[in-house]
Amino acid sequence: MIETVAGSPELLKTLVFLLGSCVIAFAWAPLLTHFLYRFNVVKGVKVELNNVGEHSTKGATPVMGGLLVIITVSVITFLFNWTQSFTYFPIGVMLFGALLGALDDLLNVYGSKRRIRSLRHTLTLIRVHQNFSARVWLIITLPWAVFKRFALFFGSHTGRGVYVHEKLLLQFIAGAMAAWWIYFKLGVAWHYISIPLLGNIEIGWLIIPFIILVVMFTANAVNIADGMDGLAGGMLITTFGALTFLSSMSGFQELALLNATTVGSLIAYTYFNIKPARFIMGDVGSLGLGSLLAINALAIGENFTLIFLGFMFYVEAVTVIIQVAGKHILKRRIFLMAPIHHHFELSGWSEEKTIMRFWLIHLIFVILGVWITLQ
Amino acid sequence: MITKRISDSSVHVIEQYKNIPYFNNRRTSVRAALPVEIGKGSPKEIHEEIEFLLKKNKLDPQTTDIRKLLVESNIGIDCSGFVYHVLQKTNYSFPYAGNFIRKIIAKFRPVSNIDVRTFAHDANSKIIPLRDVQPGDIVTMVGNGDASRNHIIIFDQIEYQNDIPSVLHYVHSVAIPEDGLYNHGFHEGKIEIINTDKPLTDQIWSETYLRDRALQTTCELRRVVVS
Repeated sequence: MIETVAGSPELLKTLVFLLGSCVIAFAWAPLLTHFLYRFNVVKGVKVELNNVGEHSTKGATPVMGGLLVIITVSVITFLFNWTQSFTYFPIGVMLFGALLGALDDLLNVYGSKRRIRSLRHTLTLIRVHQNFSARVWLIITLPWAVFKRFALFFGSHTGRGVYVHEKLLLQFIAGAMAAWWIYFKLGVAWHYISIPLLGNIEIGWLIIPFIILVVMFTANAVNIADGMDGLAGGMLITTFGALTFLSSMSGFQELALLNATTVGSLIAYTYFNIKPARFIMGDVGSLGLGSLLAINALAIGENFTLIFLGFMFYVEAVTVIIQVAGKHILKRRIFLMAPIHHHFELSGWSEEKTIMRFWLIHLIFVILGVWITLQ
Repeated sequence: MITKRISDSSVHVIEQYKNIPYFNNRRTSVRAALPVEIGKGSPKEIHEEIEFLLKKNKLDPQTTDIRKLLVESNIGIDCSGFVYHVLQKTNYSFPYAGNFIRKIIAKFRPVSNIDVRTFAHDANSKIIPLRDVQPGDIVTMVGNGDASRNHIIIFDQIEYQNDIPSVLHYVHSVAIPEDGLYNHGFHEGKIEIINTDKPLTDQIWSETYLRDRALQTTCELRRVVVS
């Protein structure tokens, strides 16, 4: 086995990218830390979590540490691995997701409380506003105002930051970008869903909504899992490591390099994120890397095994859905607290125990996913 | 002299609420939450929430001031939630629900949507004369346009002299400045009837602040008619 891969230029190049990105991320991490503390990019810990024993000190940890990965990966890929056919779009989608996350982080940190004008108020303004152009603008944006009120009705409510409906809309655009790229640019070979035992099933244009859904869901799942020091970082290392291996095996060298770069910078990120964290990922990292994870897996045709490659992320997301549904339908909590890592923490596991066990469970399922792919 | 009491199960509920602070969701406006998180929890739900909070905050039940913990975690009971659970009725109609969908939601989650105005609506209760008052009857105080003045109390025990009510014992959940930060919540008092032909506000109230509030609002003696 060693003889067959030793000296393989592709493999060596992949490892060079991994190590290089790791070194570069380590090198400029102090600079990022300095700026995060300098500008005090600290988000108030959610009220719900404020008094939770070990979380009580987390209020002072700056967010947006995910920039370490996002910027390192973007710059290295742009300089050394920039190919129109493969790395161009994943980086674009990742940056779009990261931009949305950054907006949310910055509004959460520096923004003031946001308020949505009621529909009746808007209609009154359309009639009576002194400024004619403002009236025209209000009429043009009326559908958006209706959408906002509609979303608010379903609980899209926040004091600060980006509203849920705005987030979903922007994630939809990110998903649509990915879908357009995969459907039109990568071609017919990507119009399949490969399920073990059943083989490849062609679904044609239906792959577009599928991809949009997968990208949105994965981005949010990573965002949800990013709730404890080192949890999301460690699991992402495993996932991107497996993606490096799979894309290398399937002959997508550029994507293998991109994934290896991500693994490298994630190692540096997780080094600083391990408890007690110097910084936390923030939406900028989790939404960006979630989109990248989805698009990189879909681009190598691993749409079924993605369930295993992102296993714990999806589990975390599903527990949140179950918890909310339970609150609405059964009027009680199904888990002590969602996402599920807090459930285990409240059941008596220490934070370190929860995180490391999650890493290991995730690792097992990722290996299972790789095994299924290689079947 | 005859004394009539509210049913045993209601007395049991009142007993359990005695150590629960007051909390009204108007200040925090939590949405789509459990009843217990918006000041409408039953004693059982509040008890479960206490266990959850102790676990979440890693606190020792023996040494923790539960009342303080509840106040700081925004858990408590508001006046209408208190009356709802004491009365143990569910089939309310919601005439003030904004639209059709809200009406359906309110029907499915009555306790989360109950308020003083809903209790005070003719669809849910009827005005009764003072001489007919019985345990389980309520007094609704609806502030005209000022929802923060709304209040509701419930009679748990009534003393009669020659079949005419003479002393009305009531219980309610309220927060008044004298209670300080932590001692608000369950209160009890009595109204001594001097003349059944005069309105309730002209009788002798043991809690004067409550009578003042009754005078400032539309105060009605009512009996809940839903099942």
